Amino acid sequence: MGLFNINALWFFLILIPILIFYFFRSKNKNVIVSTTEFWKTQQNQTLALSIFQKFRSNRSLLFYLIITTLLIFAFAKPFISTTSSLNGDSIIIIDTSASMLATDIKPTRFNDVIKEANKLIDTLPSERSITLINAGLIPKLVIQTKVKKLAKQKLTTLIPTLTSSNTSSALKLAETISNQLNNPTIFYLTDKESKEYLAKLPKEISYRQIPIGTSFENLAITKFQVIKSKNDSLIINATLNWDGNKSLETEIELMINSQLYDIKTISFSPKEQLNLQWTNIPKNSSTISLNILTNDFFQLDNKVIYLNPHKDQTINIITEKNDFLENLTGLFEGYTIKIIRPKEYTIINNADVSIFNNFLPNELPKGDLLIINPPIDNKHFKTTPLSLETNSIEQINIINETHPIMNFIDLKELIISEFYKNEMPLNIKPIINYLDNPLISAWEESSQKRILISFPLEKSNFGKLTSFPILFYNSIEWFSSENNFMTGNLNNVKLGEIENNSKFTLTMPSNKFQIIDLNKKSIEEFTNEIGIYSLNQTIDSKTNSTNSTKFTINFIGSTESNFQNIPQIISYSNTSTNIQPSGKIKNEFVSWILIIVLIILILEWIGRTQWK
Amino acid sequence: MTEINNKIFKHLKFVEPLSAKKRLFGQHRINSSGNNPEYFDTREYSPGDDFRHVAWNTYARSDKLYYNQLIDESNIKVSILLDSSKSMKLGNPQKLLYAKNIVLLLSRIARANNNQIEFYSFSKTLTKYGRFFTNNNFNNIKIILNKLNANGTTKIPSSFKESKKNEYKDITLVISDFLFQKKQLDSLLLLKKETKLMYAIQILSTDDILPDISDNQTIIDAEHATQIPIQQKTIAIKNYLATLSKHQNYMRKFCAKYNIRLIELVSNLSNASILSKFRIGGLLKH
Repeated sequence: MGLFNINALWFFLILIPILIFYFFRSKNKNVIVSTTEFWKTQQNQTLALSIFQKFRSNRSLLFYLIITTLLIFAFAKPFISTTSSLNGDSIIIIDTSASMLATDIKPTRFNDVIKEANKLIDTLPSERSITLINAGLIPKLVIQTKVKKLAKQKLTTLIPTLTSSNTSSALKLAETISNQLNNPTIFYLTDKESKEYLAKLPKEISYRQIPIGTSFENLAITKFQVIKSKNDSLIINATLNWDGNKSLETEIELMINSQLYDIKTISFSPKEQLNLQWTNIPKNSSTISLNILTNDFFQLDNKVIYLNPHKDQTINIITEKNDFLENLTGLFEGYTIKIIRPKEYTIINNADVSIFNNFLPNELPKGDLLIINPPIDNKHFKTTPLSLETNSIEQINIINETHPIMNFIDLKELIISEFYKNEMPLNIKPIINYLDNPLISAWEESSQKRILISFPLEKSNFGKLTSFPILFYNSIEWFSSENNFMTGNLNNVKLGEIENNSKFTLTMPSNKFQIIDLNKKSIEEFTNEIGIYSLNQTIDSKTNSTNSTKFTINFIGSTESNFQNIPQIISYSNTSTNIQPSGKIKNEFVSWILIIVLIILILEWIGRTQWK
Repeated sequence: MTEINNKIFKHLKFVEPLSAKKRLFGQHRINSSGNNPEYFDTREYSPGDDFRHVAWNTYARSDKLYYNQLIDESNIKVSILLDSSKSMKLGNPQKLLYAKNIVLLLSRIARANNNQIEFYSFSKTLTKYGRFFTNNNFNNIKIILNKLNANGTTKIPSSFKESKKNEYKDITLVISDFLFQKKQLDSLLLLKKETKLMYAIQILSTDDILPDISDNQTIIDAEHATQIPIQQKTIAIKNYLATLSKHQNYMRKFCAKYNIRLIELVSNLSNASILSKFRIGGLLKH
């Protein structure tokens, strides 16, 4: 038997004042009677004054001690690790997201996950299939075997990533696999809540979540943005989030080109989020980094690094006369902006970014695209107009709040009276939905980034909101952000020309050196460090001529920095008799203790009323 | 206490001790028979009074009819001995307060019937407050009762020391909680020798009958300050009640054996109940 909340045992200190109170109280109470002649038979009793006798005779003290002990015990959330075996096959999902590197369990949560998974495998029935799923950003099937040893070996190959875990995809994968299994049980070893995904699981699958982690007191940089201002300097915006239950004071340092630029002392109230801003940062700053100087149990989200691209980009805005859009031109200092009327637009007018408003040419230009309200007769999206019945925004759902274009966006006051349903490829994930139809979507296609806004600016108040220019600025930032990556998002590194015989090596922030196999097209597993990476292409092995591309892993996704709660044990099974927890499958029996407390209270009450 | 209509007192009388003519064999005759009536008190005439005893001289002087009350109509002497020890201070209502109320009730009956009251209090020693006759100094008894406080330990007097030899009390009432050692009851026997009729009026408080104690308390004797710690309330009360019951049974047997009439009262009874108990106990009659 163990306790989930060992700290609750401190509450046993309450018993000390209770005992003191009882012993002192009993000494001070005297009763005067007419004569003690008739009480003399009591004297024999009083000879035995041992502590045990005192307890024995003090029924109400015993009662309070038992009730208090039981309640503290219940608060400590006891569990029993049973060793009974499962009947059927098992699917074990291992959370390998960045938060598994948290050190509230030494050395890391991930070590605990592996330890728990090993114990679990030990107690699973032999001759039954064990399936391991790595729940990273893209969940992967690690192994499906009946040999426990093999499953355990595969566990050792897992490493935590810097990305978020994709719980819904992991469960979907587990669900798909479970169709081929006999009486399957899914075990999910994670430090995240998964309740919202469980409703989607078929009823015939049993599910157990094994919680990992003990603390949620994390301080994190959850948003970071560098904006070019009109006076030819940079503005830095950052959001810091403190999940702890007590106040916290910390220092944060801003480094420009590896030199200390500013240091601030910040005080946090419990569970507070603070926005910070630095202005007049020199425009020619190459690297900007922000560090929290507090050693919390999760250090990965304490640092952000930004590489300034130093590059002027061209932006074409193709629109009929539109004040909202044309006024934006003042925002984008350092960009060459051209406003073109649709009639005058030809494919020759190429730019790094093209913004189309109520117009789409038959042939899309190269470069990144921001498309606002494509016309019904366009050749790229099947577009159907839909009218909103009300101006209410209650039906607007932000699907992907962590997308870079959503930084500092507040759409509480958005009113839209008309929008268009655009049929898009299935792999595109919307960012904002109205009912189930995307209002704003962002995706990447052929190394180009695209944003689609599916409502006319003229039929909404969006242009008047402060979030309007921010969204556009975020979009341009996102388009030009190939040097600034956030974990938890898949990012493309544009490598330019690739020679056939080229070899790629990756130099990590810690100066570790990795050879990259470009066939995999993904270097996700090597980007476990926040900082500046250098991807080097050796073009000619004889001359050793190289082409280097730098990029940064800026900061981890906010889902990983969110430690607001330690998940609870979740267990559900429609055929509950089938689920026989095993290993450190923790059966809480808090409710049983509370029932015992209730029974004792009732008995005490009945006893008192009868004695009266 | 409920107030009693004054008329009731006129209808209640103390039982008469055996008259001179019917004295028990061996008892002395008292020189207060009606053969030589001496005028004892004069009061206003009321219809039905014997016309022969109208105070004609007074009538001649004042034009009002007065009645000469004869001593043999009011010759019952009631001696009340009230326990004023510390133990009488306890209870709710206080046993002493309750006892004072009883004394007052009996005094009113005595006044209505022209009986004499002798009032004593006792704790360690016996204190006599004198005789109280009808009308004249009835109010004095109220003042005395008001001043009387509970003090000292209980010691039942063994004699009315001031009594002249051969002078018998008609009725003697000892009012106490009688919660003391058995041997003290022997004093009642000595008192009994000096009186014709002896009544023991026991007043117990509800706390005496069912004490309100808790676990781990210490009980203290009101008179002797001896202390006994209580461990378990339920067992202690059970034992106490057994001992009290034994004591009460002994009292009853003792009183029956020596012709002492025992009237047991609880300090929460109303005046009407008290009078009813006195009638049943043979102290009062209609």
